[in-house]
Amino acid sequence: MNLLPGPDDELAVTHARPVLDAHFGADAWAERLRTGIAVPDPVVADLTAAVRTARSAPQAVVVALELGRTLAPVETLGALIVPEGRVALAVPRAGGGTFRFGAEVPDAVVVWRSDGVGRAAPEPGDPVDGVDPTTPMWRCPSDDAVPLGPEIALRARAVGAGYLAGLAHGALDLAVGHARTRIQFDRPIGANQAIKHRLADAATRAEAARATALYAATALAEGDADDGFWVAAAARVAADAADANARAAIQVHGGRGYTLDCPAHLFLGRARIVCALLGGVPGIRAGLTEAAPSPSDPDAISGCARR
Amino acid sequence: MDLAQSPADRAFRADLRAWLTEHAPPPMPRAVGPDLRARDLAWQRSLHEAGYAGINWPVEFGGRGLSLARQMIWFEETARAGISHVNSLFVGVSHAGPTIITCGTEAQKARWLPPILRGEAIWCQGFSEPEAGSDLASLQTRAVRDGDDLVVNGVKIWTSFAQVADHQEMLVRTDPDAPKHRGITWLVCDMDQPGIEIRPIRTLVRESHFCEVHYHDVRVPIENVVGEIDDGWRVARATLAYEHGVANLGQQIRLARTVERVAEAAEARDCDAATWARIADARADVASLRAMTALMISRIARQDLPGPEGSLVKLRYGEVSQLVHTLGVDVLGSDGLEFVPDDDTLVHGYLASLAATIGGGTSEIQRDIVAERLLGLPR
Ligand SMILES: Cc1cc2nc3c(=O)[nH]c(=O)nc-3n(C[C@H](O)[C@H](O)[C@H](O)COP(=O)(O)OP(=O)(O)OC[C@H]3O[C@@H](n4cnc5c(N)ncnc54)[C@H](O)[C@@H]3O)c2cc1C
Repeated sequence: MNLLPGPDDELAVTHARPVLDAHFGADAWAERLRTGIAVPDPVVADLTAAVRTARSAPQAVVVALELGRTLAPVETLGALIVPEGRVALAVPRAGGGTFRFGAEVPDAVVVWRSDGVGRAAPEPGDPVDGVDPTTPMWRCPSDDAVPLGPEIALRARAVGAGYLAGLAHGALDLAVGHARTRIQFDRPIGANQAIKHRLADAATRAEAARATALYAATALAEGDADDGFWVAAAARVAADAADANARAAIQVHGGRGYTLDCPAHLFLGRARIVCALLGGVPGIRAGLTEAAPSPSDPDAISGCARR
Repeated sequence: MDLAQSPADRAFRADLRAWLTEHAPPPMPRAVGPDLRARDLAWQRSLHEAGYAGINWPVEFGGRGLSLARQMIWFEETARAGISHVNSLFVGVSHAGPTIITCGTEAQKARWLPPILRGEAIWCQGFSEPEAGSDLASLQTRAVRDGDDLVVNGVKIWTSFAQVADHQEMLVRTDPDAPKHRGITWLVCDMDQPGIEIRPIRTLVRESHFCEVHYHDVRVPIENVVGEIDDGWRVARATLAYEHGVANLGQQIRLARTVERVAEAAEARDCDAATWARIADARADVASLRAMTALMISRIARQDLPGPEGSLVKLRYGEVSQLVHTLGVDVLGSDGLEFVPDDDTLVHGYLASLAATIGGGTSEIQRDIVAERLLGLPR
């Protein structure tokens, strides 16, 4: 057993590293929030090309973790699902149609539905102010899509879970950095137990989310009989971690945390979007119940009954 | 990355599973006494004879010399077979033994390790004192050198299974004038000697699982000191690393089984959607424990001692365990009011889960460890 990603698992991360280091991460976003300059299209294109080199499920999830940690555009996840040009992501709305995230004129659209993911042709959409001000969002009239099949659907969910787990890590790092340097009462705020314990809990959630995402990716790669359960578990744990850690990061930043200039809210907004793509918390829970062992099975143990 | 699915791993798992169906130990006696001692030792003996003891211990001391991943499979399969390892064998197998492997002399290893695996000795842990719990380094039990012996006086408390133990891993103060982390010594005290008085304490699950132990002029030979005199804190750090790190490997499988039993109870009682939502979350939380454990043992395979990451697993285990068992008694409703002295019941598990955030270092202390050693926040 080994859950530490090796060089092969990190293939796409290695390709993406130069772009991520140069253009993403909380510091780069802080600068962008201050200046109002958007991410240039060629940068997104470069990153997308690097991300697309991921083949195996571990390669895809490991790069998704890194995309979340560095606050890369949500749309780059599309390159791990449909490997063509710029892919936008969309989620059906209760009243019909979709909300779409990504470029105004993408090459393809992946629609995330409760019964799987589908592929749709791009249609014109109306711009919407979204929960995350740095993720372009569009209201589109149709939610028609051609199903991509259960295997790709599972991979898409695993990738979403990986991105959420990455967000949980990035939010933790941002909060820890601030807690070490912000001085109040003549000492760093991180010397206080209330802050320490909040961040220790955040670290525990981030570790749980990362570990479960890596486990799910490995289960997928090995064709484990329980891979559906593991992907659902990874999504549930990561959705919780991403949301709670983003909130912790905002709280630890005090008044700054409530401003649009502080990158903490980017973790929150992206967490809301990706959680919604995965079906929201109720949808993720439904997946957990479906994939669980039947209670009447005397051997029933979620995630290891059939090994 | 891989999930212990190599053909050799699979074969090990299959053989062990088959062996366990034929050789399950007798049920645990309720009381902590001679029957429990005999049962635990006999179980350990049969494990050893079958080659299922000390999976990742060195071969020269009776172990199998296999990977920690195999040890994990062992924990999973024993838990799956419903066999609890949280009993009197725990200290010897899970942290006293590993500490001696890491810090003991060759003579000490040869003397103490094989009997642990062969089912000839039970160990207990005398670290905590009435006035030294979380602040363990403030311990006051004194040991004074007298010829080739240390003479021990003082009180230890919360010593699990002291009533049935042969040896105790023990922390004593040998230099009262040194800074508190300095003058401490880690030694092995034999429990069957004059001057030791054991007073069992009743716990939330009724049985006297742990004890208060008094020492009046108890003589411990110098050769029982592991590490150097006054350098026991370093050795204790190793013990605590094992205790926080790898000691709970198998518990999460037990917890996963508990969740499925709760689901069964919820189905029988036609529970509402809110309860099913909690069950779904509990499934995911327990799965995350398994994944965290796998990640942790992957890290340990690359280093000598478990690192502070063990505290992440311990923290989450404590929380998830209480969450799952609270859910369990909520589902049972008024049926959850009857206490049955059987550790397989949800009510028993509910009460026992309250220790999960206290024993082996409280969750508050684990959070301090994570914040200071892992996140680098100021002390
Ligand atoms: C089931 C069980 C089995 C045990 N078995 C053994 C055993 O075999 N051998 C052994 O040596 N010990 C054993 N223990 C003892 C255990 O290690 C101690 O109970 C534990 O370390 C806490 O110490 P304490 O009980 O003195 O509580 P205290 O240290 O007095 O703590 C009381 C409360 O204050 C909090 N607190 C203390 N210090 C701080 C701080 N700095 N910051 C924030 N909060 C703080 C604690 O978290 C706790 O909530 C066992 C305990 C249990 C429950």
